[in-house]
Amino acid sequence: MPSIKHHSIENPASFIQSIYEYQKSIEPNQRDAASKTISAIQSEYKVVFQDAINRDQVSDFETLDIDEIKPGTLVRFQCMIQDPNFSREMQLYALELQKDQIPEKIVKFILYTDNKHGSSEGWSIVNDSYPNFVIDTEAMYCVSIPGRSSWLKQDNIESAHKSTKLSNLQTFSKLRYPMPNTNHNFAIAKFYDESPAYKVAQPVELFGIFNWDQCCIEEKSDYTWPVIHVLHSRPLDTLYPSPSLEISQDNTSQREECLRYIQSAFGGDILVATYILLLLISMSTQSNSKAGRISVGISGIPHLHPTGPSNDSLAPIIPRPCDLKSHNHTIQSILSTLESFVPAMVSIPLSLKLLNESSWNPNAENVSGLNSGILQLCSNTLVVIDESTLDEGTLTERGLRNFNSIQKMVQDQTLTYSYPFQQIEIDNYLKVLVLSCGKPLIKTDIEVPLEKESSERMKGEVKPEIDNTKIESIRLFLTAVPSLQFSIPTLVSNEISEHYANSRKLAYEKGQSLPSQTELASCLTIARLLSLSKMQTSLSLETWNEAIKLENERKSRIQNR
Amino acid sequence: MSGIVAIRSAVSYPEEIERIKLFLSKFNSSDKTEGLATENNASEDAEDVDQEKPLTKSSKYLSILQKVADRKISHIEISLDDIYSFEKSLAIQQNLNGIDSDINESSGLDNQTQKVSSQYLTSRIENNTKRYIELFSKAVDSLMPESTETSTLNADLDSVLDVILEQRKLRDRADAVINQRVDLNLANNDTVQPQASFENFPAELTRRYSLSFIPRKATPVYSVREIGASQIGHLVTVRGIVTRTTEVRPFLTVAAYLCDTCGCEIFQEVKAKQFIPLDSCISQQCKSARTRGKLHRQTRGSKFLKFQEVKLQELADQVPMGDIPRTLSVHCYEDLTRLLKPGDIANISGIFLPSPFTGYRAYRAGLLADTLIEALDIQLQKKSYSAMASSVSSKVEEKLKELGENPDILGLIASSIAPEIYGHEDVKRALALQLVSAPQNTTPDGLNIRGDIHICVMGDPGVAKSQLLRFVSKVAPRGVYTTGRGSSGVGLTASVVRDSLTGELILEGGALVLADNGVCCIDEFDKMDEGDRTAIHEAMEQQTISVAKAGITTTLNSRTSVLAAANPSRSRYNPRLTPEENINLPAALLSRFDILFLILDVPDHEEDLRLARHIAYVHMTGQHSTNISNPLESDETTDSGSNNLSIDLLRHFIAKSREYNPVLTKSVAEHIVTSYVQRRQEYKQDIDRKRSRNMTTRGAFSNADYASNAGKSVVGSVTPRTILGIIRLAQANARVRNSNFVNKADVEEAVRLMYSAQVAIDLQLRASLKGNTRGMNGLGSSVQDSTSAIFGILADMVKSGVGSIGNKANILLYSSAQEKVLNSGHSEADLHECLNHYDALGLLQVNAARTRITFIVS
Repeated sequence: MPSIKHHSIENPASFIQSIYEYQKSIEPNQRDAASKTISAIQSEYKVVFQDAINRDQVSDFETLDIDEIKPGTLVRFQCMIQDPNFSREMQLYALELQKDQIPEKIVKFILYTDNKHGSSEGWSIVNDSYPNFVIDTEAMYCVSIPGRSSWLKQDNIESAHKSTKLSNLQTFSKLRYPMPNTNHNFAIAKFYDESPAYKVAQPVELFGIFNWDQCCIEEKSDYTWPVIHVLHSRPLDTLYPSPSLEISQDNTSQREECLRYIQSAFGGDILVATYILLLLISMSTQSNSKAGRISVGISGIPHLHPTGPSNDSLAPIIPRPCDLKSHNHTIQSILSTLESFVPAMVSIPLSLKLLNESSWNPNAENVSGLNSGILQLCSNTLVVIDESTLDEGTLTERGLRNFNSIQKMVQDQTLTYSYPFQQIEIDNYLKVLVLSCGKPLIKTDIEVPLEKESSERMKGEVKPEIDNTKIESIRLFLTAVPSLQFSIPTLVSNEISEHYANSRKLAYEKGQSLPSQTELASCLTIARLLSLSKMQTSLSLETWNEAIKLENERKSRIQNR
Repeated sequence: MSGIVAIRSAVSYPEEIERIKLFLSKFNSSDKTEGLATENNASEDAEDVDQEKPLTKSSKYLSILQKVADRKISHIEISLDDIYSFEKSLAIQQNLNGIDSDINESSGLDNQTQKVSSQYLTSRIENNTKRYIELFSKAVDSLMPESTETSTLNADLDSVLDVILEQRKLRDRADAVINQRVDLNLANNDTVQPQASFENFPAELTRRYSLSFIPRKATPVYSVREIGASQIGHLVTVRGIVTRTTEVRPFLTVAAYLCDTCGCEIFQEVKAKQFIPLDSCISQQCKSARTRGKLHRQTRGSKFLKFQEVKLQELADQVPMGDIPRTLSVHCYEDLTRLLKPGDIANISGIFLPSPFTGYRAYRAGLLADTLIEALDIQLQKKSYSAMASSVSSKVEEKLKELGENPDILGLIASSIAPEIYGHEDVKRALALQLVSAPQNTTPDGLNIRGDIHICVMGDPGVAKSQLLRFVSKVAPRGVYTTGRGSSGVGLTASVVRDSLTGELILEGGALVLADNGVCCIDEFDKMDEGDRTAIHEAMEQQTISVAKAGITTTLNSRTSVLAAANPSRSRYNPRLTPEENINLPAALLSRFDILFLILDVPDHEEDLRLARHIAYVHMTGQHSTNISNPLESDETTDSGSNNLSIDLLRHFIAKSREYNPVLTKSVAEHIVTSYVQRRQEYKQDIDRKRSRNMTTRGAFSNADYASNAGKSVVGSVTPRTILGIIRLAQANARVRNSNFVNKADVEEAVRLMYSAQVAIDLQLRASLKGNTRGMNGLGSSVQDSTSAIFGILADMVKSGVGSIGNKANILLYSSAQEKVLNSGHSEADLHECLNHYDALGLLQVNAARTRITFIVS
């Protein structure tokens, strides 16, 4: 790291004490000074971490060896909030101390420090403690962002913490990560005297002091947990926190490049590639509306058995989510192509075992706390569900329920959290891409059958060429485009309405099934995304017609299958 | 450890005790304190008054104390409303101005207002409840009258403890005479003089009562997440759903020991969850003799409380959008144990306390503390609607009044139901009536006549049935949304499951039980298990669910309205089939629905245009024209053209409407009777007509088992249940008008709604007759017709098992199907068309090699 680290980063403890000293100098009453210090610390650190240079100086929690981290070190952790209500606690932030022969009492600020009992030479705690020294503490359970792409990790080594201290917690932490039996990192984030209002499954970046500490939960309360005492935090709206998101108007080249890469992974099928590009730039908006969200299913992928490193003597691979080896090589190459663009991607090799035995929904029923499920992922994560790995067999009741939740995730973009006596439905937009050989089991908004020729081509070895310099600009393009504003001019809107009403009339006369409200909505979504992909912020008639053309082509493929 | 809670204040506790005593002895619920003008702060004066005036018999709390002394009750509830009104009357008498006027607002919400009223005992109690319980107990101890009963020991009433106490009392009295030890104690405390002989006994042990405060009526009810560090030690009221309760266990409050050296009894008061037992004697005797006497625990002499820990979870409506519910521990003691069961919704008032770690954990955790509520009062919430009606703010009340004056209030409410869906005016009206529902009647002989209105909505895919259901489940306070398919596990009714924590068998209520006093929305009703459907029969008419499983036999209440949505039997309504064939639900079930709606997807240029514009608008702005995500701000939602009610206001209106109890007047009753008879007559003609029509169309569907269905027409059937349905709908209508009487217009509307479904079907039939005359009469002349006919043939093959493969009845051999179809006069192309068509609908599948046809729905 170049340059000298900021004092607040190098030695947070002394920085915090200096803030308290400063507060004492301007505030005659030590008690008031102590209470003002909390907010002062938070605002100081907010200023410090506004600067990207300072942010980069803080060591990444995930790359450090957890046994080596000295308690009291400032770390940062880009994570997903798995359970925002991990525990609710109260904490004393200051102590009043007295000493024999000295009539004066002093107030000691002890928040964020290791000195829990405030003991120092000759001083004892005033028993009749000033009650207002108690503050609310919110503890949240944070895990590594599931499916984070390898290009975003600082080094490509599997960096899950291994420590004897963690082994006690392993049975617990295993249930709290969406991917079963996958290495990951976790920490308890403690927020003092603030309610950050982070939602469940939200990606955030934490800056705080690392320590081993206790938490107030029913079970396992005797253990010490890896805790980050948060000094500053910010939500990660895009999972790719790139330093500059500025993008020029002329991005047709990126669009073309991106299409070309995807196309080559799908045996040159441009229609499929276009729909996947649209899926990649779709994004959940802040509002409650489902506009602009789609799910895509690609059918007709050549059927091949998952091939490991061509060694049959090895034990059969147990399909695991996020494990490239569980998929066949065609899908592997699709996955690696997509992964190089997107900040987070989760691949799920669908199998009866996975459906019947894993939990897919987060569950808080009959357990203490909130256990995770495979579908508890950060918003805007690309989820690739591979149906080609599915075999014949019986779906148990649990499997059926799990299947229904996948279907619900794909169609309504909501995930059900099971709580005792109530089911909480939480809006969460995952970009779902279903890959299947035949007709897809999971009903997606948009189903695109792969061209026969492309399918044939995919059976061979496909290795899309990826140019590293270009790929960075594609990542930027994909990150920046969804945040563009979008509007539909009245003229175009009228045209659309007219088109819809007429097509219904026509269909009725011909005795075909009528285009429904959902079909119109999905067509509009396509038009919207198509327009955005061209960096056009208002829908033109041209793009609308192009969208209809795309849809018609897609439908004719389905008809002729 | 309790040092964290202690509140430093300028209040002197002995004075407070005097004030409490004054209240206890003088408060009288009916007759407000008299002649107490001067005694407020001066404690000595107050005591003088105490002694001078004979204790009035009418004092509410003294009579309670007397009952406690007589062992008739063991629990003292002190209402803060009483203390407040007592204080207020004192204040008025003392002409303390400027405080009493704003007291109601300053009920302990934030720090500033607390300061204003902190001179009131009430607010001091609310802010430091734990301490005041102790103070009140002390005051009660000193005021405790002698038992009026004879002092002889009564084996039934007295516990072992009493026996021990009685004997100790006698012994101590003897000791006192000898040693005159009492004199030593006198100097310390005058007020507890009557207790002086008990100086060895902790007060906790001698008390034979538990004391609690009942919060004032105006206290705000919080959700779990609203309680924080600022409320430590305060009396708070929280609402939530109980998710878990522990067994009731004894909780040691006073441990008794016996010293084997000196024979002294040692009592140790236990205040925390854990304690360190004493092992060596601490009595004067042992200390002076310097013998370390060994102590033995005396279980019989110790005092235990009943203790139960309860987990309270936030209710779905308290959880902010996109958040998950929080939980809180509640500790219940003595009489409050066993009051709560998992699944109960309750208002729990109690003291919010931090619970520090103890022992080794305390050392490790430092100054960290868990939080809990020590319950003082538990109010079970049974009816969510009535709870709502009682908590209406003045602003909302004004709006409700305004609404009540609207002549077309039903129309307005209907348009506010699922505003993002266009059309379906009549369906929405019916849903509005369902939410309001009719009053439940209980006949003198104990028979319940249900007031809940059941509705079934049947329609083509894509007509937004599910959205309607979801909306209703959101508006109804106990709305449950489920699908006929998805609810196989717990089932709709109830199931016996093994609790994973305790391992014991427990009864788990399904959707119908959970929606008790609410609306149960069941989607995909047609795809439901036969078993669950049968259970629904009972739930819909008797409003109970009987369970006899795994040794548990019980009847659960399910006073719920059912809103069901179903697809026609072959996914889409086929106008060429009879309504009965399309609906495909048993008549016994259908007759239980008050209204059956059929929504068909027919193009309508104007409607389609409007809908498309709406969708375009959604895409443009990213939000609906009515703001569902923000139900509280009704003002802002009205600006987009429509003046719909917000969900919140809608709920309030429904809650208010449900308070009315409309009755039928004689003339209206007669009107109903005549219209029923008329309907019945029409129904008879209808059957005759249908029978004849079926005979003519029969030729087209030679393979459908038609004849058996003819005459058993279920749609629009008029049965005695119908008349009850009309009455219910009319009553609900009157409720919406906020009237206690049903008028003729209500009945007209009810009848109109009830038959609007029928009209829709007739219209549809007429339209199809007009457009496809040949189709209805001829034989396989139109493409669509042959598709249906071929499907009929295939379905028949599946049913009879002809041409099926092995034991899998739902798989047909393609070749045999082909043969049969061609034999019945259809072409190969027709068969392909048919298979493609129904494949697209998801009813059957043809394998790639075209050798097998698999039926998904048989």
